[in-house]
Amino acid sequence: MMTLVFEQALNGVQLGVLLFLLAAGLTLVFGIMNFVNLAHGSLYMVGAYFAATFIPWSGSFIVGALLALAATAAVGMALEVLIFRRLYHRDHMDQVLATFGLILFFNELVLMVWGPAGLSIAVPSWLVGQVNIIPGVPYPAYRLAVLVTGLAAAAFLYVLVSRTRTGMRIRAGASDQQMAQALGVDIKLLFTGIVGLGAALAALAGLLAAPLRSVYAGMGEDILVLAFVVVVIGGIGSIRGAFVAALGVGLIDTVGRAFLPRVLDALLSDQIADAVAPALSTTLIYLTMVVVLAIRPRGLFPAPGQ
Amino acid sequence: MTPTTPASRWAIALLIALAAAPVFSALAGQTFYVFLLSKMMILALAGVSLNWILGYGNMPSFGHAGFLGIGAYSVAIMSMRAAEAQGGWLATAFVQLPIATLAAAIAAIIIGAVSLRTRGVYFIMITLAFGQMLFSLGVALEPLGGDDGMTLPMYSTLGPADLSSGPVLYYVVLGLLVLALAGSHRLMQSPFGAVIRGAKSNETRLEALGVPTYRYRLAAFALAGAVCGLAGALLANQGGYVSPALAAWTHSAELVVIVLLGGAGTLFGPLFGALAVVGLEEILSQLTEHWRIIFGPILILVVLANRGGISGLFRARTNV
Amino acid sequence: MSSPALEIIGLHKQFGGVAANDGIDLILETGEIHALIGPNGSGKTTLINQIMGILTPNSGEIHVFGQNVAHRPIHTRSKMGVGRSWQIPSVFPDLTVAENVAFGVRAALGLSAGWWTKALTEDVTDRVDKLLGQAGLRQVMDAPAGDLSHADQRKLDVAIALSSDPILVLLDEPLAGLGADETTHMLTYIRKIRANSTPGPKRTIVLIEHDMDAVFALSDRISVLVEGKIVATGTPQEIGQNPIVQHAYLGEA
Repeated sequence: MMTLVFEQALNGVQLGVLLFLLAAGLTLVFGIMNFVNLAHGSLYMVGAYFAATFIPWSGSFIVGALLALAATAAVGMALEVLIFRRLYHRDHMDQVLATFGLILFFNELVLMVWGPAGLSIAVPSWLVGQVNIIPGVPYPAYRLAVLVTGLAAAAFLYVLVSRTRTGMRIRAGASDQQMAQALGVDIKLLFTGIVGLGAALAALAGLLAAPLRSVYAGMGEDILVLAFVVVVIGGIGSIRGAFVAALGVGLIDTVGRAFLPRVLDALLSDQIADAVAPALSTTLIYLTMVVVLAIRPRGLFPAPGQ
Repeated sequence: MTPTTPASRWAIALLIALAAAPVFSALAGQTFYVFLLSKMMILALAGVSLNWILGYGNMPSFGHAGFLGIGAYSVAIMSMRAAEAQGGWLATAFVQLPIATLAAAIAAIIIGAVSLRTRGVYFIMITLAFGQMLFSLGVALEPLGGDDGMTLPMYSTLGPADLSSGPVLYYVVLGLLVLALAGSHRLMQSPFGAVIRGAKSNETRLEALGVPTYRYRLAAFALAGAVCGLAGALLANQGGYVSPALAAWTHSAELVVIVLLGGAGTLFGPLFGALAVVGLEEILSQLTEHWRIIFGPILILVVLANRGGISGLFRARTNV
Repeated sequence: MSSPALEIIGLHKQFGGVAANDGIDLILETGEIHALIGPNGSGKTTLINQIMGILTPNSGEIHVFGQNVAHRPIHTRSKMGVGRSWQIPSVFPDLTVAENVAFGVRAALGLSAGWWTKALTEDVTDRVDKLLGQAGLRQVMDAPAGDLSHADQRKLDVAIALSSDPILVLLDEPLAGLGADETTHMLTYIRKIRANSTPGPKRTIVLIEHDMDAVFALSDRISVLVEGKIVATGTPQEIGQNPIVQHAYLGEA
């Protein structure tokens, strides 16, 4: 039983770091440019498709993954220059409408280029198998690698935003665009860069998830909603909030699905438990979000001035 | 908008054309168009309801399709019971449609009561989450087909006929749509509508005048949910089928597209929007199966042009 | 003895590390025009935001005609007779001028906003007409408020504040951005406001204003705020001669 709890907790953290990679880009773009990007899930999908193409082509998981990150960042930056920057000062619903148009476009494009069948990415040979994290508790090596990579990316982002000159510019851009401009920050370039960074993080999430799930058109929409839940629970614009909320949502979702039916079985009659459990465990994270927002309408870590 | 603007003249001409359409399509032997226009008008009805909160009231709900789902599943459940009993009172539209509407209204009161505590992007996101919650509930409802949904065992009956008949459904939908548009006009000119429109730009000021805005906004949210539930009940009969996809967030996004494309906060905007969305889909999908690759960029261009939707185009022309 | 129109006791409001209101005590008698002056950022608007209920104080009490309102919602305070105008004219731009003042009129008549009646019924239009006449806006009553000139929006802003028939009126810089003629008109208007409460006694007015000539001409008493504290209260004459005030505020002007 302990082993199972431990394994599910690790799965939860692993889902959490994937969600964080997606949510980080969303919350940066929300917080700094005040822009709602529904097409962020499309970048997740495009990243996975690029990886599924580049990895076999280059023969190396690492090389293919890096190429996919660069290519997706380029797509993101192109979108910023062509479309997003014209919408920063517009109503949120206009942003939603335009980026929904992008979702339709990308889903269809992917179908036309790669076909309707979907793709898969194989786990790299050096990560096949299990490792013993603590003696007697085996865990798939690839899942562990996802977890470590995700945490490393989170650490990188933390250092970038809070400890470097670039991060200072990002924070200046977030708190006061005119001030940042007066300090000599090229706001246009900075914004393009932020979207590019967010796109690369989304692509990383997409390609890391690909060997565990599969690569298909529309894969971005399912996870995008979870990423939005994370951003909102964490507080829009807060990287720290996104991290805490991502791990929380990952754990609640995974552990809830694994153990809620048992808990309900113990508490209620079989018949009721069987009827309630699936509905409750799939809606658990949405309930969590509703409760958090009912108590704190601007999330756990509301960014100042929002 | 008073009923004498160019947009409203076009809209009334359109409604008259819609009233005549089944006759012509029957003469031409093209009954498919009756089916398609029924769907268009049901989406317009859902759009009218979303327009009250999103357009007039600045409550940008992104989970409105959840109420379509509630309305549709209410009909599915009642029709299952009715099929087991081989008919009876539970099968009639006079029972099914009001109960579906009421179920959606109750859900909207609960969802609105929580969501309206938040503002702006948070409101968009919390309504999105509620919509997904309803979607997940649909997926979890194994007796109703779970993920795949289910075919209606029997349609809502209406006297000797039932709503499986194209023309019967068509005129029921048209009648309800006209009622909803007339109601929309009356509602927005009433003191209640003034509060909803006023709260859009300046809620604090309304409060400072002694108006408890939360209650009014919640009432508007509930009314919008109820009418969307009615649209859902009709949609179940139109397709003869219900599935969780009705409540999916992408479907909510489609309703938002209908309202914004038609012109948010204008009386006939949702009608134009629904016609444009269903029409474009039909025309483009005859050009290519990958019609979305054209439709997506059209949406983007509409936003970038920023003319306040189709109703805005009429306005722009009269100003010149 | 009847309660004062407004009594504020030990009011504190903190924004992050800054005390915007730092222990405010203030008593206003019924019918008084009481001006709040002080440099920008001294906490004047923060104070009236708390009286109206838009901000909640960290500590302290606010009594309106003897009732502590510090934690009541905004709309309840309006029902108790508090009304305010805004520093930046705060109108409903998409609605007509008449609709703008109808909200408060209806609320004051105890009417809730029905689903199915017409917005401007007869009992409402009478009052709307009177309010707009008093403000000099009757000719534009059917225009969208967003189309009005700045001066007319300013008048409308004050007319909206009066529409709910308040007995304690908070005016936030009603003269800002007005020309000389418009200022004269507004001064007359404000004097009328005090006299004109429909039932009962004179209205009590809290006036925030930077135009010192207007302040000294209109006010019965003046309080000076500096960094969230009231440093002096008195008649215009007393305030004009007060050395602390001259040093802290008027000296700079």
